[in-house]
Amino acid sequence: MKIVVVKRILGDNDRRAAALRRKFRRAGTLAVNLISSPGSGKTALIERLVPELRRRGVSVAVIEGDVATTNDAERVEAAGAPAVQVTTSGVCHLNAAMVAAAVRRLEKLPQILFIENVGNLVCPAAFDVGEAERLVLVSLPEGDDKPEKYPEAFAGAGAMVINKTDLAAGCRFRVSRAVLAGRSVNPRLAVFETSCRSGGGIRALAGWLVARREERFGLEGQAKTRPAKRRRAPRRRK
Amino acid sequence: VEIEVGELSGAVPELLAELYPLASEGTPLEGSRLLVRRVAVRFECRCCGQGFGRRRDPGCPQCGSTNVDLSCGREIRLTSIDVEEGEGAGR
Repeated sequence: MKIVVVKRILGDNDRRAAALRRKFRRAGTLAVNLISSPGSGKTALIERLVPELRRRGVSVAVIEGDVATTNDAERVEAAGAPAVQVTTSGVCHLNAAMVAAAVRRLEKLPQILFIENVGNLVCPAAFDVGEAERLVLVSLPEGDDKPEKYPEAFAGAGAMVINKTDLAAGCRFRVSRAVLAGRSVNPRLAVFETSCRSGGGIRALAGWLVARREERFGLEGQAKTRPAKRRRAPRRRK
Repeated sequence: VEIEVGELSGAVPELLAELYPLASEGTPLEGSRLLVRRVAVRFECRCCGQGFGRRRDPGCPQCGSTNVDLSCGREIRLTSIDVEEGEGAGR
């Protein structure tokens, strides 16, 4: 007897991720899941984006996922954003439960929450952490075939960030090749080229993130200061 | 036990088959067989509705739009369980 089931495996993680997503939506938080190989510059990119977003009046916080150490959380806090470190003690990716626990440790939900995943292009691709956008980073020295080798990571991403453009002279990285491969699994993939050394491309990426947030939540809470409520003048009777 | 594994799901059918006997040991599924069906990547165009597979040129082959959704290829799903009649009678 054949029993038809059709049930998602990893359904438990998906349920937790869906609950997180509802929480973020209610709070007006754009959650951004940042994934890449180790050393592509995820933390450096956050260090650059934090002041740029704050300059635009957007509040930012960061969840840092690492196998060990609290180095990254310290770096991000020095850049001006509250950070919560998740130390996975060996686990190669963040899952929705870990992120939910980290969110409870945040004093308050920001307008943009970066979730810096563990450096790894394989497993983080399979675990939804309730994000609204996924950013995948590749850096020039890694080679332009990363999207060909790790298509899973790019399939669900909103944007690919090509980082370390300042090293272009020493690397044979063909942007067109990386973009073509990324878009073959994700035709809508946006592409940004950044350098955390020079700051090149950071403003464009920050602008894109702000636009994604506005798309979801409108302009509310975006301005630095709320315009003072104008009192309606009492009507004069004739 | 039949499952579907998308080409872009990150799960490896060979490893699933290898580890399934270990994972099911001591459970009611011990001794059962895992059947893995691979699911290829499919896109669906939001503009013209055309469905198509993975190709070198990104975008819809019919209208050229890049406004397309991944319709399958990332799933890991349990689709059916085949049980011999009478087996579960004691339940």
